[in-house]
Amino acid sequence: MKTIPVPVTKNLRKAIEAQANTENNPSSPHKAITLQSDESGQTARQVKIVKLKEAVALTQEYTNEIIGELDVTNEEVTIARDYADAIIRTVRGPLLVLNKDLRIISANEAFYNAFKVAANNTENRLLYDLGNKQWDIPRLRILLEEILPEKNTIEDFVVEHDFRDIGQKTMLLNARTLQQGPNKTSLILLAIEDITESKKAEKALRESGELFRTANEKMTTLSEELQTRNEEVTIARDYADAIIRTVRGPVLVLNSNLRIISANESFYTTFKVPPDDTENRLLYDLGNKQWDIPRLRILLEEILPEKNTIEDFVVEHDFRDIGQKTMLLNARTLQQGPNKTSLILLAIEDITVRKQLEQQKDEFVSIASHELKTPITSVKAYTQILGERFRKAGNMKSVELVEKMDAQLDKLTDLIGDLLDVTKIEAGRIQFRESYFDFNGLVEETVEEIQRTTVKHKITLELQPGIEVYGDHDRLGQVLTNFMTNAIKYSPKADTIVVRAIVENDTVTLSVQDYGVGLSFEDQAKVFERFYRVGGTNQNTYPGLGLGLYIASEIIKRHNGHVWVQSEIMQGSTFCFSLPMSLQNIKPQKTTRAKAKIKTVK
Amino acid sequence: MSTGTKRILVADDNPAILDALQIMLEEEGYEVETTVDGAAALELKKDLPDLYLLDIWMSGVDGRDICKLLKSTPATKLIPVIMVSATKGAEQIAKDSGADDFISKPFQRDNLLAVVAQYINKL
Repeated sequence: MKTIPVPVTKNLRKAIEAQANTENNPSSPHKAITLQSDESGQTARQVKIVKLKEAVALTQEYTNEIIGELDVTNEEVTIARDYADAIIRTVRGPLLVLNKDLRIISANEAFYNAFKVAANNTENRLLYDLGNKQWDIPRLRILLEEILPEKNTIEDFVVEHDFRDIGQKTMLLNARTLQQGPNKTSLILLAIEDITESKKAEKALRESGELFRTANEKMTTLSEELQTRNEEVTIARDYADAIIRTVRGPVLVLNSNLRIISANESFYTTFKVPPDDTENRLLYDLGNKQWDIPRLRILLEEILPEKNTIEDFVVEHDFRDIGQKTMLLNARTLQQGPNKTSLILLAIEDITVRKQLEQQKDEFVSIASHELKTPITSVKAYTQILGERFRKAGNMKSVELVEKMDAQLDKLTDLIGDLLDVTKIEAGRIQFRESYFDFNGLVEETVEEIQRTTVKHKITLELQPGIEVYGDHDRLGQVLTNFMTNAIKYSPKADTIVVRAIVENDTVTLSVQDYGVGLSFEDQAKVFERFYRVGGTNQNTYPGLGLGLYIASEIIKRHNGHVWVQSEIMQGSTFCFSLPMSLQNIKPQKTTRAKAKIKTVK
Repeated sequence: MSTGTKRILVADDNPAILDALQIMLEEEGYEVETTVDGAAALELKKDLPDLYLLDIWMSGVDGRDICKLLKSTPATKLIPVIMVSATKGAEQIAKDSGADDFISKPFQRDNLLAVVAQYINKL
């Protein structure tokens, strides 16, 4: 439908009116169209006709002109309308064109898509009836019916609504009334923008902003905490570093590949190496490979990964720069940092001097005991010569005295022997000469020997027959002697001592029972400790170095056996040891050794 | 082999022990020769003793070496050697050196005489 624009019609009318008034108005601006009468009638009519023809032609011309103009205008209108339509169609958001009764004149594609409605269910229908009345929103009604007619424009009005087909949405509305056509028809352009997502985004943004703020606060707190922790870590690290630096002995920190991470000053001075030749290098490559020691390799590569700790491992090695040394190694793996990086702490102690001193002490004790025994040997020999002479002379009182002297010399010898044994046990150098032997025979021998030293006590024997044992005959004899002499010593008022030997579950158990003073519970636990002597008011009654039971227990332990005591105060004590029989059946080659053994003097 | 008094050579670097051993053995009827110099035990070419009583640790000389020499020399290898020491565990050393027996110091007179008699009477 095309309407002729108003200005064009006006011009045309004017032009026609002007033409008609030409006769009475010679000053008409329209030049040639005049309907004047001529001198002659014919000529005048002809002139009139010509003039009319001219006027008609002119009118025609005008008309054509107007039509042409009209066409252009129409084209412009079409272009403008197409342009507007294109805009409406192109506009991404839904757009409605309504008449003043709020019926839909047209809608764009975006509207149909957004609200999932078809064109035929939309055009010419009341906005409020659309899509199952999903647009019948009270606020929208107020907006369109009250506010818009007054203001002609509504900008950025937000409507939140649960739309039937598309759910809860937030819509941003922009509306404008247009006067169209000669009738000034009111049109309403309603642009709808779904801002749900952006609202959500905004909300999310707001929320994330809050989250961010919270996170930020948390971060700050964490950061502070971290700083505190860092300070603590720094302190701890400084502390650890200080310890490593302060430790007198060399300490290495290695990574799991046995490369040096750090070493302390003591390490550098002890091994005469500079830090440059140490850090980041493989342990074994250090100092001309002086640490490439097979035993150390086994230790660090096989034992440490499994056990995490190595304690007091002794390595004797000829170090390039410092010579033959005895090193005591202590190692520990540590998990460090968030990656649980394995670190190895290796503490090295040069015990060469200590070892030498220990050896010197051992040698000294060994020499001293030998030297002490020498005069005892001669004194004892003289004593026994005297005893024999008195015996031959029949002076039995003197014989008795000399025998007492001899017994005291034996005690002195035992004390020296104990001192030497302790030294050997501590140095781990007590040696056993093991063989199969008649255990019952040894017990009988010892009982016989001890029985000779006492008149008051009667030692009774309860032996399971045929017990054979694999071990050091003399050392086990020493244990038996110790148990029996103790039994006598600590039962001054009793007169019975019972020695039993039984085999049970592949174990030989020997017990020496007395009915003497007994031991308190506390003493029972400590009686096998080195230098331990039963205390209390009676201590002067029972002299001794406190070594006998310690030595006895060490001897039994070295035979893979156990020692223990059962006792009650004033009821007596039973000292026991057990030796495993299963061990007795191995190493048959030792039997030949036993046969070859030099016979002990009886 | 020989009849009459048995001769014992005693070597020990301690004169008191030597003295006591000499008295002890002589009172038992043996003929005793003593030396504080272990090496002197080897110098006896004639009049070989019937038994050697050797201290293991002597100043200057090692009783083990003497024992080994005696046991590797045809003239002396059948003569019994009893080694004496104050060191526990020396029994093995004595055995390794080829000694016939071992007596620890300080010794019991009865034990010493019994062991000596045991070897002397075998002869």
